[in-house]
Amino acid sequence: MLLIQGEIQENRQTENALRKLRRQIPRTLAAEPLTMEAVANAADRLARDVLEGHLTPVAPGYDVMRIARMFLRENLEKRYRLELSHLPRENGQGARFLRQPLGVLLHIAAGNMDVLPAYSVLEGLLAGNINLLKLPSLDGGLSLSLLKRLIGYEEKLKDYIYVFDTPSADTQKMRQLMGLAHGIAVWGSDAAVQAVRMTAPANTKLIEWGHKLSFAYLRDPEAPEKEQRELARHILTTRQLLCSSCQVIFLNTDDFETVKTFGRRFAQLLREQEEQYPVPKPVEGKLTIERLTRQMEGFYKENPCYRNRQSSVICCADSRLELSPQFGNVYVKSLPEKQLIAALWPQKGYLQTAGIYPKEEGLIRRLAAAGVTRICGIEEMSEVSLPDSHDGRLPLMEYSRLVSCR
Amino acid sequence: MDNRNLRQLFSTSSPYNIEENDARFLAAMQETVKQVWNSSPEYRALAATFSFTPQALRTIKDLERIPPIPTLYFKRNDFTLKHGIGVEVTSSGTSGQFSHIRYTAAELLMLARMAVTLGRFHGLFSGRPVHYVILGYQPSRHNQMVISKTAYLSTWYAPALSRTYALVRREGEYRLEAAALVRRLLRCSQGRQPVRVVGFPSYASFLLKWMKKKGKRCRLPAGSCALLGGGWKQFAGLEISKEELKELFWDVLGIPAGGIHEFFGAAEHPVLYCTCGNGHFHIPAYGRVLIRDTATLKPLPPGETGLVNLLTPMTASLPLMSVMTDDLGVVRPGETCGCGIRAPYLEILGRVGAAGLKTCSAGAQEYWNR
Repeated sequence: MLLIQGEIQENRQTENALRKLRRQIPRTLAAEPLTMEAVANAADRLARDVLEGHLTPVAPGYDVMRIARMFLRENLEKRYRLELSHLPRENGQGARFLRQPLGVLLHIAAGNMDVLPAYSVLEGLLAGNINLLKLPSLDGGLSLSLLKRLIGYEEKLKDYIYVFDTPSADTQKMRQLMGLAHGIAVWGSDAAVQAVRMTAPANTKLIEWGHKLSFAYLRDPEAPEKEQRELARHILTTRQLLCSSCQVIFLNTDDFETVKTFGRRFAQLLREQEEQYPVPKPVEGKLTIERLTRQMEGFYKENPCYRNRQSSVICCADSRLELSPQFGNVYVKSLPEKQLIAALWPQKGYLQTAGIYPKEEGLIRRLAAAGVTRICGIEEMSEVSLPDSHDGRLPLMEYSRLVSCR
Repeated sequence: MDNRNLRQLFSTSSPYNIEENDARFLAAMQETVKQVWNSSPEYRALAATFSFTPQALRTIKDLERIPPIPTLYFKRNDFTLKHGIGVEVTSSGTSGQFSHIRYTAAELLMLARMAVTLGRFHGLFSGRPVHYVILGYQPSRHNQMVISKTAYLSTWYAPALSRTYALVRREGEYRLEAAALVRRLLRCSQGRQPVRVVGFPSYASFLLKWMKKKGKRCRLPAGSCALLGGGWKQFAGLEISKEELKELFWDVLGIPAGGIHEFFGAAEHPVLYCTCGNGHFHIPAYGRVLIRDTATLKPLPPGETGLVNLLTPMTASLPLMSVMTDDLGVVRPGETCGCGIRAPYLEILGRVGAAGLKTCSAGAQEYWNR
């Protein structure tokens, strides 16, 4: 299904829609600019529909209410202020700066969170862009219905929101869509990002929101149990599937005994909570087969594992940041603070959140220098603050440009 | 090497009589385990991790003590084993990893006997010449995939008038020649000789759906049938039920439900499972199936769902005695089928993993969708 100027259309209308779009875009760019207020008004009404129970988006496994709050006017205004209000106005040499939207922004969304495609469009709107959304393959119609409702609340938005259902494999149509855009926001795995890099025109800005890795760093392996329990909960609730999910717990030590002692105790914390977060059988089966294979390969001889029924702690002899087996199976490794930067270096482009204990300035500086983009307490890894930067950048700024004007 | 028990097991004339075959199965398994144990230091090391030795195998119940080796392990690791020269087959690895297994001439003979016994039991043999339409690769020396060989072998149950392949090797690569295949089917429906459609159920469903959509229906001559084998793993999400497939065969080609035979097997488990009249895979004498708990790997009682663990004493060229598949399934008592075969039957319910998983952890999507 497509969404073209507020109308839902069949996929076979894509060619037509593209032709129409080519005529419409210059007109929209020439029109009165879209105001942040108009966007925030519409989004706020949408958020209230959800919060007041008039609309139930299907988003299994996610906190729908928390996501809905991201659409509230006060939060959107906060974001706008944080990201765009401190831009320089003039250079003191006679030039003034005008912030402009990029113009046309193509969103190549991933299906890793149900509301994400619509939210990406909302970010583009806040910066004033015309948004073309390419739906992820497993969207299920949610993005379309949310965006249609948004247009229903603010008619002006119909010229700023277009949804396409073109499969990524249709390179010809993807090229046409890319050719219309000033910028492309791509969400997804390395393969998805790589594919866009290969096809995007050289004169189009790419804004990449790739997949990331996060970890915990305990400068003091004797972190209080309360904080550790929260970390265990974070590992179980997120199933280690999010870019901010903890994959490895690093301890500031070079003593493997300390790693094992910590691992044994942490496995206990996972065990206490694991029953509340059951894992589906096919996933459990794959985890078990992988574990059995590693056992046969002798992996656990050097990397002892403390197992519960579902969850486990694997104490590794290396200091690499890597993807864990997930679903409550976390790695614990030694990493003396002095070696922190060198050890994280190979994963430099993937670093996202570091949950730390204790919160100490020297450690924060070191992690920031290593390339981490979000630092919080080990007990806060699941917490989302609004507004915040995203992967080290401010999306609204990414979707804008500055015009120097003399 | 004396493989008397193995030979006896594979020459049984009552492939679904458990009582008669249990003792032979155990004896053959003891032989194979000993053989592998003696010739492979890797296997000894692996077995030691599970405190398993050949002496532990005393009763049929002890079969569960043989460490079940995941197919993933064969794909990532090698065994040095002394074994005669033979023919190599490769599993249809969908993720770029393959298992290589080598069979000796003596073993191939035993496997042939199995195929003959089961073919007879399930009424697959026919003296009447037939046209074969094969939904798979044309075999060549470039293609050692087990599925193309089984497809080819299943064309020996009845004399071949012709063999038409869906994937034909031309100028060094395989090309899908669907239109030619459909023309062939339509032409055969005008004639009197029966047709046998052989291949993956997935390909069969795609072909039949396409024919239906294009309005290309025909009635193949009486005695035509379908021999289907292989999985859906490349086409997750496109599976159709057995009932739907039966409907399609009847609707598009006029092949009745009784003419549809399905096979199940794996490169790592060279035992043939054929559907009975009720469409169930009863476990033949040459293999045993254990269903294990998805978390603890403990064997589960009949009727409970878990990981499918396949056992057979066939071949000492690799430790295939106990293989852990990526399938989830359930074993049910033979009596509950109603077809008359008393051996329990295996139902495959799906594969492990989480296709379509939503994640933004780097590398996770690739891992879980593999």
